Order: sequence, then C-alpha cells, then structure tokens
Amino acid sequence: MVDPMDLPDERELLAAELALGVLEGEALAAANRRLLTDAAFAEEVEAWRERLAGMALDVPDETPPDALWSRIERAIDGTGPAPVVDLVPRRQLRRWQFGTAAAGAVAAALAVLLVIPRPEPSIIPPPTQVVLQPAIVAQLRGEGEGPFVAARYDPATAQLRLVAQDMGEDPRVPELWIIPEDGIPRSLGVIRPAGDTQLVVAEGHRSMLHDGATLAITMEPRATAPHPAPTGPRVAAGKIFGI
Amino acid sequence: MTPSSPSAILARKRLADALISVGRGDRAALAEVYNLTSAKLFGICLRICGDREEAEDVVQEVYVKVWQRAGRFDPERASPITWLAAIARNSAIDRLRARPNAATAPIDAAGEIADDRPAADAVIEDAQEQGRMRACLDALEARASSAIRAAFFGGLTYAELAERDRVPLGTMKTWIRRGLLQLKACLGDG
Repeated sequence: MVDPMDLPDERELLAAELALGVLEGEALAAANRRLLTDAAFAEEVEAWRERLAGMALDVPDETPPDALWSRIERAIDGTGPAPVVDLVPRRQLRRWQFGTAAAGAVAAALAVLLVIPRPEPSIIPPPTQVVLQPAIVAQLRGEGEGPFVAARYDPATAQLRLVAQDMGEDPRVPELWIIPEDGIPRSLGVIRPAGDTQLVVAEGHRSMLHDGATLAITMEPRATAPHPAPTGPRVAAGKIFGI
Repeated sequence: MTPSSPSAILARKRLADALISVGRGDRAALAEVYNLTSAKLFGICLRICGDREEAEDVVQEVYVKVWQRAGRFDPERASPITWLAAIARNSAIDRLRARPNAATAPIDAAGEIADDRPAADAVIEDAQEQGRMRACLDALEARASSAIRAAFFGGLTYAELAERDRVPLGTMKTWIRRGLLQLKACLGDG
C-alpha cells in the first residue's frame, strides 16, 4: 500500500482532487482558501477541470426542447458579458508577470495575484494602480466542520465574488450580510449554497466593505429575501482584510 | 490535444471563433454556440441530474455563464467543447449537491455510468481525443476508474466513495490519487 502522502507533487494531487470534487470538510476549505492566494495552484485546478471534462464528452447527445433557447435569451436580456471577477485571472496574470518583471517589486508581484480583469483586456493598467485599488478578501467560516465561503471584492467594479463550499441540506437560502462598525447587519443579497456567486454591491453599502468589517451568512426564508435584518442562525462569518 | 481530421479541426475552430465572439458580447455568436453544443451539454446535464426538467434548468444556467465568461476562454489552452463540458459538468454537480435529498441521488446516478457507449456524434468534439480518454480510463484498475467516474458523474466525495465500496477512507484516497496520476500520464498533455 502506497501512502498517499508519499506520492509525487502534493499540490498537483490536491488540484486534481478539488477539480474532481472528492474533498470535503476542512480539506475542501483549505483547498478553496488556497485558490484565492496561490496562482499556480488555481491554474492546475483549471487544467484538471478541463482534463477531466473529457470524460463528459462520452455521454450521448440529447436534444433539448425548442423552448430552452428562448428561456436562455430571456435570462440574458439586458445583460452584457459581465466583467468577470476571476480569483486568479490567468491570461492577465501572464501579462502582469511580464510587466512587473522590469519593476521587480515584491509588492507588485503580490498584487499580481489579485488583479481583476477589466472588460477591455487590451488596456493594461500600470502595477501601481493595483496597489492603489486593492482587492479585498474575506474567509467566512462556520463552527468546526461548518461551511466555508471565500469572498473577494473589487472596489473598482463593486463586484463581490463568493465561492461557497456546500452548505448542506436546508429549505432556507444563505443570505449574506455586511456588518460595519455600528454592528447593524445590512443584507447584500442571497448567495448560492454551493459554488460561485457574483453580485454587485449596492451603492450605499460599498463604503462598508473595508478592513475589519464583518461578512456573515445566515439561513433565511427564500420567498421574502432579501431581508431588512437577519432572522435565522448565523452559519458563517469572517472579517474583511485588504491586500 | 491534436484534432484528428480536417473536419474536426474546422469544427473546433468554428466553435472556438464563436466563443471568442461571445466574449465580445456578440449574441448571434451565442446562438451559434448553442446550436453547435446544446445537445452535447444537455446530454451531460441529463446524465448527471437524471431529470429532464432539472437538466434544462442547468443548461440554461450554463449558457448564461458562457455569455458571462466567454472572455475567459483561451483557445490556445483548452478545446472549446471541453471548456464548455467542464462548465456543464460543474454546474450540474452543484445542482445535484444543492438538492434536499443530495445524499441518495448521486449513488443511483453513478450506477449507470460505467458503460462505454460511444457518443452519438463526434462532429464537434474530437473523436480521437475522446477515444483516448476512454482508453486511459479503461487502463486504470477497475476500482480506480469506477471511483473516478462515480465522483465525476455522481458528485461523490472520498467519504461517500469509501462507504459505497466498503473500504477505508485512506484506501479510497490512494486508489483515486494513483488513478488520477496515471490518467494524466496516459493522456500525456501535462
């Protein structure tokens, strides 16, 4: 029996496990945290997702009903391609690495990990702009083996992206709150119990997303969300920190 | 991932070009992507969800994501159909896990996926690439390929797989990790 820890390249294996979806609990939380901070790891996860997706191509085709396309058209009506908030934007990252090689600043290299891709990728802002407009991140955790949510906010676009670990069975929905210095929670909206959520923070709440403020998630009734105040139990919370 | 035939090369390029146009906000290009790929992606979502209505919801979600994320597609790195299949699979698995009865459904779904039926068509996807994945999976130990398929199509975690096969968690981890490394070596693309 080979001990798994003795197998080569632990990072690569962790990336493969995350892409396949076999992790849970603390191991999953740790891997999701690493996605936020380790560009090489995020690239490997992406490569594994695409590699494993080859398995799906074997599934027989099935024609969807005609009405589905019009449903999709309605769903995207009035929306353009969203400025994507990527945890570690790959293509941008390469350009940045190239650009910052000359600058050679350690701080800039760190900022590279947190660059948000712009809608017009041909215009690459100078590295200093990243330092001036830092991304803001938070890790929201529950008790013990409870849920884990990684959050990342781009002040420039007011986009908040969350990656949630499966929150388990619940007829209610997770609602996200910002709790600034006054201690009064304001709803930022409902998020998906697993996977990605992207939302645009309402103008009045943007100034509350800064260092030291708390993001929290409670379980709330679906029908009436968003709510003026939390009613359900807090399932995860974490402090914001800027990088 | 070298396409095998001129028609496969053309089909791949057509889809890649359409995706790039979608990334620039071209809605007609999204319609083309849908026409070229919806049967494949609906097939994937239906296999994972096992329910037509739910699969339709997931497919809708997938094309909305494609509309939003196509700017991230990198034709030099990923095959366009594989990129789309990854979005479809992950969205369907997310849906599966968000179900109230998530604990039981995936195991049933995983039971029917061990067959090696070839895809109904191989116009867009590269038949050679697809055949290689099948051959590489078949080359693994049966218990490893079965576990990897069940995780991929059924969303089963290490703990659920260990329970399904009645083996210790560490044993299951070793099977899968070894299998994944062998798979990568066999596919020879990394």
